[in-house]
Amino acid sequence: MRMQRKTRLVVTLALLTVLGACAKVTPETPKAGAAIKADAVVVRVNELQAAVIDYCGPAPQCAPGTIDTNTARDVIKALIEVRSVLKASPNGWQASAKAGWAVAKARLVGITHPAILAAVAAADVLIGGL
Amino acid sequence: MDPKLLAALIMRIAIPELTAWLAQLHSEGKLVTEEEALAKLDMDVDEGNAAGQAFLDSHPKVV
Repeated sequence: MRMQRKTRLVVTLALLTVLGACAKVTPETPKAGAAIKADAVVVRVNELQAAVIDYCGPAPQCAPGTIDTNTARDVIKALIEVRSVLKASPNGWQASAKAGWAVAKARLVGITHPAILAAVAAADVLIGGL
Repeated sequence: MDPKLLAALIMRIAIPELTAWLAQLHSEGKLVTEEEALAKLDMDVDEGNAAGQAFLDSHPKVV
């Protein structure tokens, strides 16, 4: 009985934490809404970039057995392009960002590092599903 | 106060009340202005691009 109460308390606290953490953001205008959506993509793209940089390792070249340095550079360049498009036109970025994303994703084919796969999947939900 | 009674009060009153309050906060959400949204976008883009450029500078193309 005591254990059940403890379990209920833990589950309730976990639920409260989730509810508190996912406070919904309401845009004041459609333009604000577009910027929020664009920013969500940027956050995912930044996570992917961080995963690639982390996987590659310290300069001047990516560690053996990770990702090819030139491939990593191509991916990073494509991600910079995607971000720049999002910043320049937060209202109409879908087509351009999708094109840049396709380049980055294509260069990552064959990479099986879990963090990169997870980051690609997360970004794909936002960009690829448009 | 009887510890059992206190525990029962917390479980039956305090936690449901707190949950309902947080749920209300969740559904109402925070109103974000255009300026705030664009500022956050600019900041995240600049931060990401700076990190990306730093990587490109430190990892030259292999010929």
